[in-house]
Amino acid sequence: MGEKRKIGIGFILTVLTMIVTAVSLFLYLQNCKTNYFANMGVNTTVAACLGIAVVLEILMLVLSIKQGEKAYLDVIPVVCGVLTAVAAIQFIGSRIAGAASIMTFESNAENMADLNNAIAAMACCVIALLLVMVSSFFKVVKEA
Amino acid sequence: MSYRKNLWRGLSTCTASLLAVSLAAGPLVDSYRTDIDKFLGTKSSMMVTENTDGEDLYTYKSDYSSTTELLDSIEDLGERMSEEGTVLLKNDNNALPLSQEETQKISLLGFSSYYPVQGGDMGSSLTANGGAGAENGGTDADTVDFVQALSAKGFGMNEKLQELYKSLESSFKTEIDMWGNIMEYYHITAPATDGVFSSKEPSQEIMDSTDASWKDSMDDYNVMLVTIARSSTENGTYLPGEAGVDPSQDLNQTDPLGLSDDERDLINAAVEAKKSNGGKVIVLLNNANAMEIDEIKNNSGVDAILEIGLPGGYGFYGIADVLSGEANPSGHLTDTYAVKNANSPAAQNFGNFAWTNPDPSTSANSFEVEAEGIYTGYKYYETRYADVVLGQGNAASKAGSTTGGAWDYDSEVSYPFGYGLSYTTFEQELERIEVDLDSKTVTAEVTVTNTGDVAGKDVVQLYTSVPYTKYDKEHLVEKSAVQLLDYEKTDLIEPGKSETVTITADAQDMASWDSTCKNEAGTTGNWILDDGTYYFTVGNGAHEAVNNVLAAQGAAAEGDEGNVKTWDLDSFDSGSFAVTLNGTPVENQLADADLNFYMPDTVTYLTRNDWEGTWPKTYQDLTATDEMLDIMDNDIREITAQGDPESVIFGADNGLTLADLKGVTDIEDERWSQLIDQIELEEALIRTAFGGTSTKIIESIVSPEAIQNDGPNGFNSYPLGQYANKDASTGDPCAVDPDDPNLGYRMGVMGNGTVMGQTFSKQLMEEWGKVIGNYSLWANTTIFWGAGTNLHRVPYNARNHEYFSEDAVLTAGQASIFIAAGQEYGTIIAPKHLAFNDTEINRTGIAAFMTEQAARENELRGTQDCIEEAGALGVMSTYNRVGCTQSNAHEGLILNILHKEWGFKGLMSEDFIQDPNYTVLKEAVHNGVTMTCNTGDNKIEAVSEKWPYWTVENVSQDETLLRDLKQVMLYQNYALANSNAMDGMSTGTHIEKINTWYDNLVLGLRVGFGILTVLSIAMYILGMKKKEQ
Repeated sequence: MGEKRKIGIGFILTVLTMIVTAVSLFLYLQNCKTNYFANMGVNTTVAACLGIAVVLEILMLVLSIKQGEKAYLDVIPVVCGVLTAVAAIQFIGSRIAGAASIMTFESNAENMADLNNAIAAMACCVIALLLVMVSSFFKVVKEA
Repeated sequence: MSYRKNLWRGLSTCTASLLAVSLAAGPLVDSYRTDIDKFLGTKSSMMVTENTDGEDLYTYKSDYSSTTELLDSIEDLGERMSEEGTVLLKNDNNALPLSQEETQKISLLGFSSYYPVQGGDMGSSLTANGGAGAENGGTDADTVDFVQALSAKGFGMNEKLQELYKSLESSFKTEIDMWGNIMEYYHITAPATDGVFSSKEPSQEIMDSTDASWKDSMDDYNVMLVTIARSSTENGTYLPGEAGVDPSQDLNQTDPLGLSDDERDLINAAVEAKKSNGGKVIVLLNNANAMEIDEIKNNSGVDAILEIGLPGGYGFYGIADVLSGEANPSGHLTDTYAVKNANSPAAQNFGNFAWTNPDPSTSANSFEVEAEGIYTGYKYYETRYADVVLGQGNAASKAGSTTGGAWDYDSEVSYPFGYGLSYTTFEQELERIEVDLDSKTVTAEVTVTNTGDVAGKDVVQLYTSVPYTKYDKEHLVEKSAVQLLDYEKTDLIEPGKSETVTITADAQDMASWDSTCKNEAGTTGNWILDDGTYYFTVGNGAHEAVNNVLAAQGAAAEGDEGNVKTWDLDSFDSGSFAVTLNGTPVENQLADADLNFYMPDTVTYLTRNDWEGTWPKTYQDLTATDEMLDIMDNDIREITAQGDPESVIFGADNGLTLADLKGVTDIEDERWSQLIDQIELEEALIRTAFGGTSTKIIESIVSPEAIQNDGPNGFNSYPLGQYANKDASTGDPCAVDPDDPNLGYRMGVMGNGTVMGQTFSKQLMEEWGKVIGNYSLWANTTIFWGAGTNLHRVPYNARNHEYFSEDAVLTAGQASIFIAAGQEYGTIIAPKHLAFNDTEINRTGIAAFMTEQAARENELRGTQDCIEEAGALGVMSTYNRVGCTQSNAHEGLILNILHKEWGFKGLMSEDFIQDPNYTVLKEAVHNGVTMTCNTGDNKIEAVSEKWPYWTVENVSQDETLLRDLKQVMLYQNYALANSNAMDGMSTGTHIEKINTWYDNLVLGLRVGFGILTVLSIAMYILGMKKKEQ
């Protein structure tokens, strides 16, 4: 019979991080399809980093429940933090010129909507990064 | 222990994440380095010149010895620009100028008197130096508004009214929210491209309730100046008719450029007050978009009307001088002031007309069909008038009539193009005309006599009327009944004195483009002169001119037939202008700009042969065909393995730098090809792709970074001190003291394009070029996108303030002398936007359709002289499409007309396009566009990420494209070598990179977070080991 484990604050925060990261990925991909940004295409680094981060966070949750606290699982938040950080910077960098243009020379309702969408996605990405950093300070599971 | 483990894990995550941020931010910083440096005032590289042996490395010299002198010259010119650019439209009973006593009794009415429009909301905005809201006051030339200027000039003003309007200030405010950054405007603003005009003029009820005694206060201040304003802006538009007016306001306003009841009531209140206070009512029109002012003209209570444009930071000084008579107005209208703007043929197709099958991925959004052909502005109104008088072409039909009855000029036009009054009177006599087709000139000699009582300047407007023949009707060649051929402004002429003005006009300006005529290239499309009688005359505006011609033709018109000269051409001439000045045969290049090219028989273009039958319908709900969509996908040229790519040399070691070619104007000099051979292919690919806001350094040839600036109302982008040389040891005669109080000065201060146009003064434009040139030397800013050469196709384009006029000849005349004058100081003044930026609506993607005749005789004629005569070294292309083809990809326009026909050799940028698909990089480079406006890291990988086809491997298989790349590198560096960007450089100059403080910060963060990450991980591992033990 396996050991009994209770979920810690880290578990809730990691779930939240995973959700926000997944939403970031979804919003990013959605933003890449907007009229204004469609031709910039999907930056595979951004998509891959966020995607892998989501997978790793799920993996961490599952393995923590199954195996309890393991040292190798502590690598995951570090890696997720790095991946999310790289994604956030790359994403923001890819939208700066467009944002400048929309805020000045190409300001119209449609472009503004696309930019607002991008800002929401970027904000999500940054929140995901903050969450991964915060959650890494807390235990995912507690041994009963 | 668990607590510590969590702590070190958390810290490891945080530091590693922040390390990743700092590492990833590096390339991002490099991508935007120019703009970061601009924002922070830092420098990331410098040109180091050593061992000059006393050689003077500064080719171009300023006329001034200090920034104080420089700013004084700007201020002085700004004042004079408005003195001569203000148009006196009405002056009943010599209401103006005001007497000394009257200048002490000024009542300023209208909130725009206190919150005037001095520049565009965006684009050519006033960069206020000093005054309300300005952060950079205390310079030697602080800007002023109307009240400040009047005060400075000693006028006395009604303070009660000032207080009234000040108390209502909050009601004038327009806020634009940029994600929490609220932009506040207190002057009237122009609508966005999807917006409508809202009046901000307070109603009489509001004024009465604010201060019931405001009317009484005018008893003592009975010179009532009423300012009515309309703003202008880039990326904005006025929509014709009631559709352009805020529906929530019930102000009886039928057009955004017409009056609202609140404005109407204000003028009438002043007129009413005049009855009791015995004063004067003077209306000031503060606008760049021609307004509908017939009711003001016809209001007998209004004594005078002044059109003041958007006068910039010093123009109100000049306007004050006009009011007091210190200056005698000599401005003339650059546009026809129609009774009803929406009734022009061009207005029938101005608006937002979307394709039924748009494709956002390729920016295929909308179109405009310029079915009016050549008949924009006065070419429409005066030609229609002439045909009414001559009884031809169904001109008197109802089509386009404001009254609903037969078309009648007096019911359609308030003030014609070129019209303007003076405080004196002049007589002009056309003494002689000589047409010389060998030298391609028309020489006119005109005697101007001041027949009045005060000294003044006058404008000689030379007009021509060319034959409209049976051939023209058969071949659909349109002719304006009258057209401006050239103009000159006199010096100040004392009363009773005369001046003889000699005008040497370009004879090509009276030639017509015939798309059916055979040419020397063996195809069709040619400039023609019909056989018949050519009429030449002068006049105060186009209407007077056409009346002179009609009188000379024996028609029933009140013209001065004695002031008309004729010239007869015996036979049809298709040879005189069959080749351009550089010997290039002309031919049709814009056939695909005609919608009928793709969709035969769709468009009926307006012809004077039948005004009624061809009156433009509104073209909307069009569906682009597959052929059109295929072009609008912006993928026109294929990069293919072809030719002998190995024969194209890159990366040669010829030991030259750009400084070796400093000032070498012969582009055939073999050193040019040797120099360009040195550029690496990768460098060429990066530099063409990433132009951004400066030209950037090319290391292989030591080509400097040249900063680009937006205009046209002055160097708007940066303060004077941003790039100024603060190191006097360099020997730079324009080096500044770091404590110079003028370093914060911003130069977006000149009157707008229509004010400049209204001067009709080439002398002032030459001075403007010199001022820009001098400023460029002090500010170290070489490139000025500042000659707005688009035309006012309709008054509704909110960006008209950046362009001179509805007329191409006036545009070309003002712009070309300006460009040439700036070039004397090594400043690259570039005309923009090539071409047909006729609307701001959907400008990224809109397809502009027109006939080639309209394109060449109107818009392109406004730019042609800037290249052929002034030798401009820079050009900016346009956002819109030419026909279905993105402008940079249009081979006919860019490669064949601009480069081949006109002989343009210089740097060329696209407008601020950020969409890589719409940027059409490979097509643009082929056509001779030297850089896009995109920006990015100085690496080929960053380029290829945006344009996957733009790789060394791919491009190096295409010989044609490789040669194109070298050609544009040559054009760009040729322009720089002949500019003041080379000042201070010698053959020994080398580039040194500088680590800015933000580079050091990023490096520090990387090192810091790196160490912290290692430490955190180490502590984590240590903790784990302890736990195991």
